[in-house]
Amino acid sequence: MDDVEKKNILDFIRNLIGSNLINSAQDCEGVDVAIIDRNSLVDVAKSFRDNPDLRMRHLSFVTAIDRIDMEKLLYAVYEFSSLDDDRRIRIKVPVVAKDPWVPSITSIFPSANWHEREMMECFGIEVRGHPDPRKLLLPDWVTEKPLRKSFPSGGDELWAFHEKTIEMFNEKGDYAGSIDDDWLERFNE
Amino acid sequence: MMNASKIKGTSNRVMTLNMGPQHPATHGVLRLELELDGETIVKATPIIGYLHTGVEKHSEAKTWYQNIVQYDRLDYLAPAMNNMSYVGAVERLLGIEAPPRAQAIRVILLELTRIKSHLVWLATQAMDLGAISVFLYCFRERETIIKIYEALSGARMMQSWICPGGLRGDIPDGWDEQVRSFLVEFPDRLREYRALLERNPIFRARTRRVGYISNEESVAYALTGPTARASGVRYDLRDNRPYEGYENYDFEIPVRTDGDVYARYRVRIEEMIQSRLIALQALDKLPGGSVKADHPLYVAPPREDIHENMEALIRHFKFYTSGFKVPKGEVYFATESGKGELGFYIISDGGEKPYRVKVRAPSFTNLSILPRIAPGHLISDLVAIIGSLDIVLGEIDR
Repeated sequence: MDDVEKKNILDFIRNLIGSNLINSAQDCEGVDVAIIDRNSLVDVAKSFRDNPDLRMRHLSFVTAIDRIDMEKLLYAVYEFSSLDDDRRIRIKVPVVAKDPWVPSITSIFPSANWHEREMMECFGIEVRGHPDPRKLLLPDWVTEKPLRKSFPSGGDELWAFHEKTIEMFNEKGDYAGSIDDDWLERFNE
Repeated sequence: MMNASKIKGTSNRVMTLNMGPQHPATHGVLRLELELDGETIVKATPIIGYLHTGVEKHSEAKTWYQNIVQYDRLDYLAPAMNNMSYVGAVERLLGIEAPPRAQAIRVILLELTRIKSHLVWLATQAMDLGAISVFLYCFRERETIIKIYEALSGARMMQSWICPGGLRGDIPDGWDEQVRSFLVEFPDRLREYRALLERNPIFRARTRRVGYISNEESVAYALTGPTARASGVRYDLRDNRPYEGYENYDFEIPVRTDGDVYARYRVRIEEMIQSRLIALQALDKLPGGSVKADHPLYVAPPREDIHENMEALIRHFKFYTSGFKVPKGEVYFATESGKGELGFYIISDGGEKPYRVKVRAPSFTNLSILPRIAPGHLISDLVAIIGSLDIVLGEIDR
């Protein structure tokens, strides 16, 4: 679609949420990026799904970016696109690092379910109202947030993490998390 | 394989059963927690993460060029697709484009890879349903494609031949004939598989009206690829957001509306036919010229130059040791892989390494519909459903 329609999505968001549209920009391909307040996220997502003029019904992914070092912020990122043509928009929701939460949009876009769980465990952003906030990719005992910049990506610091993990397993005597103890008890009866 | 775990206190009828992660029908290390009433599934919960290797975190510690090889290992059945998505995203950040010849060879590689990926799906889907001979036939053809890769790059699977600005090198002599002879004989082979399966009453009975996904469900769960197109969602990135000159090729997008396992089977079979046609077109009008864009920083100098030219030697050394810097910015670039929308969301802070890489894996999103469609089916149907979603755990767990 041409530029007019692309502009319309931003205008539409501006009309819908007013000053809760904090900022807007374009990425290097010219795709619109709207930075919105977290309190408006659910409204925007709902209108993307339901509004017959927009029809941005495809949620590609949900992820987050750690910008704590620069802005003391984390960003939750939502990529929406149209299934009928090539329109796209990226929604970014800034959250302060001290109080990191976003509302869940799983009830509106069921595809967000696993993506939000991944965001929770890897970035430590709480997703409020998520129907199933368990860990997804990581084992239950991991408390670190591996995709934050504060988690080491190599070198001695990562070794320290490995050693701590091995020590924990040795203390526990088994690979914790896979089988819970009361299950074993009942099984042995 | 399956071990009965416990009988719930509340009801004697519902039993929890563990399936996987080493079950042959879970295609890797997928583990399912099934709640069963007799043999009927009441609830299915996928438990993933057994192959989690932190690829996204690793990406932040490797240079832009080094990263190409690790994405081969995500969807290890279709490595060229992963290369293309990542390299396409990086090229858009850099603002460079591959020359026409490189684009055409990329298209041939991508379509061969799509056929190869679908062959593995067909082999395993048929084997899960008891037709082991199809498995052997499919792997015979897959071997031919692997030999084609080997002739090009020396590597049988993870060729990493696509790189920013084009390809690592031009095709060897006689390679196009090797590809053409495979593509010419492929329809006969495909006819063999179809005769083995479509006239087989067991295969039909076990795939028809099993694992139904409606159009609305497919959209709500953001399914992509053949899985979505079998439910009537006409979403193909080669057509919606064309890349590498796909708009210049003449091909159809197979869509069916039945939404069951059999529909997904038919869509993939028809896609293989279309892939063959695209690859033949690309072979026919293969343009001449270079396969590398001419850029002093982002593209490695030709191998021949470094023996004669001091400047090229320095560039070569710099390129492979410290790499190049990518301008500040962010991009999301997705391609149509054999399994669906495979995208890379990349943020650059202007450095020699990516600031953040998010892999949008099609299998990850496609698998998330399983808890929704599995209940009400028998365990043996679940095997057919998992096969028809065509998942690969390497890219689910990343």
